[in-house]
Amino acid sequence: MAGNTINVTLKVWRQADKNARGAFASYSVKNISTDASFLEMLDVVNTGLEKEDKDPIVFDHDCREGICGMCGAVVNGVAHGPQSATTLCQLHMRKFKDGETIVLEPWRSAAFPVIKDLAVDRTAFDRIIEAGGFISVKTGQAPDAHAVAVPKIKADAAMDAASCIGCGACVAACPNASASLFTAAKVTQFAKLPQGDPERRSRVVAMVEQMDHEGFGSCSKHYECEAACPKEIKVENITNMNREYMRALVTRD
Amino acid sequence: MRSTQTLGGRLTTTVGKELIVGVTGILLVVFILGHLAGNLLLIVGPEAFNHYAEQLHNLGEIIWLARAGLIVAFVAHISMAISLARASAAARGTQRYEVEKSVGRKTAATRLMIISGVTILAFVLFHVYDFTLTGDRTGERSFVDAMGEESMGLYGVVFNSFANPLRSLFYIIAVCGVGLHLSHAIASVLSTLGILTEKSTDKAELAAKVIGVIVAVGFSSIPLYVLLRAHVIGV
Ligand code: HEM
Ligand code: SF4
Ligand code: FES
Repeated sequence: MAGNTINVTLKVWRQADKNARGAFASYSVKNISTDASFLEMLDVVNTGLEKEDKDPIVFDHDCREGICGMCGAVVNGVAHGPQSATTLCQLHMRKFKDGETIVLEPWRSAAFPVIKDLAVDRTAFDRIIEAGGFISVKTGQAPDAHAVAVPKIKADAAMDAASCIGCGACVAACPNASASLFTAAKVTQFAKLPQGDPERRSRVVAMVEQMDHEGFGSCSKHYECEAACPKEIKVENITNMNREYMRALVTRD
Repeated sequence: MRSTQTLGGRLTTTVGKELIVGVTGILLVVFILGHLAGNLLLIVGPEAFNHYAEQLHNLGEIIWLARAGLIVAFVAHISMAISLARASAAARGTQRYEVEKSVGRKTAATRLMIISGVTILAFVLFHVYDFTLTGDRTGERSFVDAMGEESMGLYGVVFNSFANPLRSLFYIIAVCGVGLHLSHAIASVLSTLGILTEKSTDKAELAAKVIGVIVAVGFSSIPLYVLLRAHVIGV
């Protein structure tokens, strides 16, 4: 497999911990296969750093298949890099030019403090889910799949919303660091289904309240989130979240 | 009891505040379009414009009810919008991105909402002082030298104001700010209020831009018309 190789310069944000002052550090990366994924390229850089007894660049990752939502960084000003609908782990070095300088920054938002280098603390999302991203049912025997009929359009809309992997790119890309797209996807995924219906009003209020409490901004419709989202979650979900919220203004569960 | 158990509490979250900004914004847009239509009578002539102003004043209490509504909407709109903008600025954090590239629909209009909004506020305060509070429609300002000995009423007041190029320039800049504001606001509010779908977003954004241009050009046409009459083609 004799693929092409390129040389790039990495300009990476290095920050020792949450309270440290970060700064950019440059690394020249030689002979990287264009078939390598972006994270594999970072692995190569880190192997080199470790050989020199230097601190490797810390970045989050897990599945490397674009399904877990752990990876992510802002690459040359774009969350998850230049390829749309693609997580950072699924981005390949063939998307970059030989000799290019790649600026790599963590998600930057007050609600996502940097843990180290490119890794940020996204537990704020977990707390939004804890506030209402569930349905309250007694466990037991699972009902038959066809016992509750769901219209196809609603099932599709719920499924599309449920494909959000909670990566946080929407927050990173939003000029207001708003978590509206994430929260709206989670609200919609339940609101469209009969199982989510009984708690739909208290759920949207609790999740929005938690979103505010975590210090995320509000949506002013720049639609940067939708363009950055690796799962192509649509802003129509935010419109739907607002509809759910208006429902909660006039009626109760 | 959590604050969001009550309706009032639910209106204080970011989404609640957005809904307030949206609903009050619609009221202000309705006012602006009505105001524009009325103002354009100035180009029709002194009789038409003064007759319209007279009729408005004859509404008596109703005009005060409308004014009260406008003031409430205006204050709520601005205070909620500023509160949201401050929270969003804080949410962005202190560390800026080194490189920032827009891949979405961020434009000058969407980024400058708070700036265009504050410009409008400054303008409206001056404007209400200029025409509503000190625009005595039979006083000195209502006489236009070139139009004879008679008071020209509110028409004369506006004419004299806009005959001053600096004042006209200020008005034109301000109404362009209004147009810029509306060119984003009108599409944005449809999403806030849960009306837009993915398919209708492009159309709504186009409609918002068209209305924004109509408002900017429409309002600007009045000072431009007066300048033309006062300094170029004569009254
Ligand atoms: C250049 C175009 C404009 C002209 C010629 C114009 C003219 C006037 C006049 C003559 C009045 C006083 C009415 C009266 O006392 O009976 C007035 C009031 C007012 N105008 Fe304008 N205006 C213009 C643009 C605007 C814009 C763009 C806004 C909104 C941002 C605005 C907001 C107001 C408000 C809030 C009042 C007070 C209404 C009231 O007291 O009932 N105007 N305008
Ligand atoms: S909405 Fe998209 S960008 Fe935001 S967390 Fe979910 S998958 Fe990531
Ligand atoms: S590592 Fe799992 S989505 Fe990228």
